[in-house]
Amino acid sequence: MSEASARGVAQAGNDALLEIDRLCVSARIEGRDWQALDNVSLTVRRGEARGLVGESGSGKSITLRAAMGLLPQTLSVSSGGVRFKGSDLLTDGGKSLAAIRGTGISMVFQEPAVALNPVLRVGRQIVDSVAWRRGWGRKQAREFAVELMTQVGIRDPQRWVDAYPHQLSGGMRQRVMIAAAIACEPEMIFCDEPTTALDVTVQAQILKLFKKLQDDLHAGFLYVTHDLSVVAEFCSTLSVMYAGRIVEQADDLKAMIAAPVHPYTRALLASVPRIKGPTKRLKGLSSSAPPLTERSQEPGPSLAEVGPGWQAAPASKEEIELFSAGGEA
Amino acid sequence: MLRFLTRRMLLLVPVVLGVATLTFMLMHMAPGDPARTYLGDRANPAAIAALRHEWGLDQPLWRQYLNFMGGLAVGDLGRSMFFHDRIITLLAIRLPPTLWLMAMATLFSIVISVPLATWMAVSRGGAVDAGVRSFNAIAQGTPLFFTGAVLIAIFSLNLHWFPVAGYGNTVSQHIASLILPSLSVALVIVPFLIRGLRGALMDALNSEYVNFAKAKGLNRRAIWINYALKNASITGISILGIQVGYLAGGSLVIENVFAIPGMGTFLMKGILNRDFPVVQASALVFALLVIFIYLLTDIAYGLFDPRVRLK
Amino acid sequence: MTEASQITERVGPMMRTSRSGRRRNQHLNFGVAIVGIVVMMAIFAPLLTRYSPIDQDFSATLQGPSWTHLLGTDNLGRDLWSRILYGGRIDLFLATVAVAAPLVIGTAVGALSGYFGGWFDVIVMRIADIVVAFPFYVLVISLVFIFGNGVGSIFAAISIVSWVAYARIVRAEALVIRSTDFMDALRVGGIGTVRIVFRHLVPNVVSQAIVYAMSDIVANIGVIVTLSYFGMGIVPPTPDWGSMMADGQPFFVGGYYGLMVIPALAVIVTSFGLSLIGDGLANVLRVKR
Repeated sequence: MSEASARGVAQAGNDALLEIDRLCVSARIEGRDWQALDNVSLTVRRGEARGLVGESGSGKSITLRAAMGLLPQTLSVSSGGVRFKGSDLLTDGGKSLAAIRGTGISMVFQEPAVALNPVLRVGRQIVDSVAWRRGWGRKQAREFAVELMTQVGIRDPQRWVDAYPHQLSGGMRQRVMIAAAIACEPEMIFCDEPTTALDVTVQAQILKLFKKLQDDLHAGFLYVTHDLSVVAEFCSTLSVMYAGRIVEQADDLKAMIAAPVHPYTRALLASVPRIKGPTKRLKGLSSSAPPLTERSQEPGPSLAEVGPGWQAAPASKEEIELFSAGGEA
Repeated sequence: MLRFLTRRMLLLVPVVLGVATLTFMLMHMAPGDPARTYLGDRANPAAIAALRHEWGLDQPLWRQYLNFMGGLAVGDLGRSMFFHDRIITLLAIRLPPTLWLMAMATLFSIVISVPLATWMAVSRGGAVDAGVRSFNAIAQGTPLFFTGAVLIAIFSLNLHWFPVAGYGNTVSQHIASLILPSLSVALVIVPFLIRGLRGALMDALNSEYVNFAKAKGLNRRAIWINYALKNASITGISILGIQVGYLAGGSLVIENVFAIPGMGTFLMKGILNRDFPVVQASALVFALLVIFIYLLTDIAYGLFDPRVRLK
Repeated sequence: MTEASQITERVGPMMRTSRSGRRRNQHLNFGVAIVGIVVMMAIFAPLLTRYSPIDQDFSATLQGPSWTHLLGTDNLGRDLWSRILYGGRIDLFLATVAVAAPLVIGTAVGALSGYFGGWFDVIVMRIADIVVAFPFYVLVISLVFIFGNGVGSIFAAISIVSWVAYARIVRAEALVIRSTDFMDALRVGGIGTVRIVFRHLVPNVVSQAIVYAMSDIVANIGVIVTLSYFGMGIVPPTPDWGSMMADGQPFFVGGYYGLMVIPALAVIVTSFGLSLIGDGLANVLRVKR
């Protein structure tokens, strides 16, 4: 396997909370397997908030779901591994995954409107897993639900604890989901575009809540988004994905943003609207990565070390052509 | 909830009136004169005229209609020509067996369908799935009276586990008598219920809320019960609601196969005796029963789905 | 929407087409084969048997299957094979014909109701509510009683009840199509209303009704044989599967299972074939959309 990625994992050392190691996921379409993730490797340490950015279809969410064992039926992990605090999660048929979900790794989904059970009161949904683990009774569980709701900034939790999801606003639902996700005090939290479905003002509030939780829980975060401003605000490290591969990642987010190496990263950064100067369009693909069936099935080139804790994939000729023009325009 | 209920009940008023009107119209669509039909072709005209007068058939149609509707309003369903008694008293003793039959059939259909649908949803696409699907296809094409006859032949005539026919006199006899008939009727509903529940369970299992429940570390059992089954039960209830017509029609057929003294046998007796008021009243009560069960379904729906209740 | 679900969506439909595509055609083909054979048997009944279905032969009652009597004879010495063939004739003919009228009436009423809305729609749908409040069997049996026995009254009874289902299905479809750009274009183009409804709307909405018609034939067979099982509708001496089952039932105890089971199998196999056709058609139409 590639030297660089092997070294990257080794470098992570003992303080690594989550290590995704050369993870490959394939999709079965018309009886043929297509590569959806190609050797994705990344590490998240305790207290670190890593941003995972890319266009839709680039494989960000698939990375999270694969690591959580929540892939839809058509997708499956074909090779590679996911380690949590050093122990492998994918090798024992889901046993250790099931044990780690909630307490070890938890996840906040994109759409609270569909990720909450419509026929269960929100208070109960927040605490059902922790109450089950700790053998709590109804009363104790309810009290903890109210406590968690206060913690995630729901005003007047007594009033909402017995409500059903459809009675809540979008922002409140997202807070409920976050409360449910942190109920078992996870050491690692996956965020799958948790603010995309929300209003801008609510987005800011939720982001603030995440910052507070990061301080309170000292958990690791892996934060998937296509919104670079969110990354700049919340994350300290960054991985960039394109078409199922990581094309560039760095432990120093600021350094990478200042001088991106891969043409795609450059194009992506250039596409962020700025107050000064003309906004440059993301050329190549405007909103989403090429469909699976149109991607190269060859494994991509392995990442090369750019600097300490900074890797980038060597760009192919096509990629340079595709992105450079737009980036420079 | 109370407002929801009131609204549902008010909506039913025009349907109930329409159903009553339709039953009245049906009986007057009959070719020929009920009195002549009843007395036979060779009856003397005076006797026919007397009977026509007795049944109010000599009055203008609108009058008969008003009489009929007025009678219904005070619970008068008319008199049986054959039994020479008030139909309402005759029906009162025949309603309970039918209600019990329908209730037990519903229970059986749930008890059969839920585990099978669950099993199918878990094993998706496997041999179980194929097996249950073929069973469904065959069950749907099997005449209900044949199912009943086969069950009688096997479990009553050969194994002597259950009575061949009738209703018995004690509660335990009633239940024993109703097991095979209600099982037969249940088999009519089961295919629909299995298909619907299986789909609903698959949808629930693939849903984002089940993914999230897994992500937050909830145990399998709780996910199945509180997430998958609880959501699928809403679909189940609406299917039971839609199939209530089959339930009532099935009772009509199966009561006659098992000679259970219920509404279905009463209606058939009315047909055999050419007892028009009895047929009319039984059909009407069957329809009212269906409307009533629709209402119950709505209530159950409200209980299971908070989105409906609180709207 | 999440990325994972986007991918499944992109992947999903293709998979379904390819994997169950073959199965769907198998369903349709198998169904057509079964129903085709049954229909052929009914049509060519006189060529397939040398016995009359109603002639009694008291020298040969309750015989088992043999070369002279393929399926044996009943308690009156009538040839079972002939009775199955001729019984299928009347049952299938009636079940199919009794679908035609409701299909046409229901489709027309539903299309008009969905297209125009307004008071016409309100009245039609209230009538529909009232008719469906009656259990199908209760209403059909009562109507056959009122009209008297015979093929015509079964046909009338079923038609009065079943148009409602078609009207509801077609109305729901018409409501969707009414507001499409295609319909707007026709209206703007000055095409007459009647022409729009019957030349453009109906062809677009009728497919669901046709799929439903398959299960409706199954329901009709069910109610026809049930009626004749109870001695109503088609009455002796006309042979039909329902009365055959009624005649055969007492001999169950004596071990002459065939007398009831064979006509029952005829009903089950025919219904099974029709259901397969219905499923197959539904799948074909679903892909076409």
